[in-house]
Amino acid sequence: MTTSTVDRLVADYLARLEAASAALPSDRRHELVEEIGSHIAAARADGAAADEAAVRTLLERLGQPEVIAAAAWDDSPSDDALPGAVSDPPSTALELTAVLLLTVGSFLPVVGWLVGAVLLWVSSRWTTAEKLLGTLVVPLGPGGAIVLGGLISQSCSGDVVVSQESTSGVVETVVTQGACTGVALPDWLGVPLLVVSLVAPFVVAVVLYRRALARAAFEPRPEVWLGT
Amino acid sequence: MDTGGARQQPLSQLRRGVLEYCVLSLLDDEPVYGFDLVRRLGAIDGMVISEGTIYPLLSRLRREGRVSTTWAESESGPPRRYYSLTPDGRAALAAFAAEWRRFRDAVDSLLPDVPACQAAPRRTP
Repeated sequence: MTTSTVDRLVADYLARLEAASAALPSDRRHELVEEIGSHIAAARADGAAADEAAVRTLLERLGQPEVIAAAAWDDSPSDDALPGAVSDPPSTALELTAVLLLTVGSFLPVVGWLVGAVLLWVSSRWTTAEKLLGTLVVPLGPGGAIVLGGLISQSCSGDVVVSQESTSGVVETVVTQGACTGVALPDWLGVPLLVVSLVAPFVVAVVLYRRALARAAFEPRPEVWLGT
Repeated sequence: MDTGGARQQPLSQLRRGVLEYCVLSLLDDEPVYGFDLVRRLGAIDGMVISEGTIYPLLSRLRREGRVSTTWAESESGPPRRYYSLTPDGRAALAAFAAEWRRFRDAVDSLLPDVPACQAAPRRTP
């Protein structure tokens, strides 16, 4: 019956894989054989490998066991040869400090944000466009936005009423109208504007820092996708 | 172990390097069962030559902390290992996607136009 033929095909294939990957550490070899084994089992359970021809096609698509073992070998040296390269990516302390100062640090008037902006431009892990984004959204940061918002919003002093007795003895009342400074923004515009200028810098900071992290992760292994 | 080096097809090294980001990309939405992942990649013409080599790749991505695995019971057969993207993996994918587009455009701008019959990727049945 074909079932036994199929079983033998699969068993032979896995035995070849086991032999070909003898040079791998045993846990790695065990994992590999188990994964390939469960791939084949899943395909058969799925009905995708119902007869002998289908199983042969399945195994052909998986590739020669020696090729798979070689790929497993190629994939292992990166962390065997460079212990810690993966668990200890290069420090992103500079970038973290920069985004923290641009956001939280901006509540330390002017200085905090300025230092953050300098660090932003010093780092080599951001593009010029990203540095511009970090600088312009929002200049002086959320802290600056609050201070600035307070300064430019309209403030009025109340009317001043002065009563004085003129030389003729008549009491005159002089009303000086209160003075207003700044710009009056209607609430529907002013409030969202304030919220956006408070939130946007944090969003930009998170995006920038994640990009810096990802770029840092690339640094120790530039051969990752160009090949060694 | 010698996998061929310079004698391999010109794209094999490049394909292997890029493949891991294609894997990360497939995991972007939801955890995927290893078999499903391989089947989806295998269905894309020119993407994978030996489907089995995706498993060592997944193993490395897991050791690098870019994917994580969970086990789930299966209706038929043994428990299945599902792969999902970690925040690290997601960040690496985003960075690669941006770099790749620049790189691809740069290469495209240099290469001569190739007749379609030569440009078609070869594929083992």
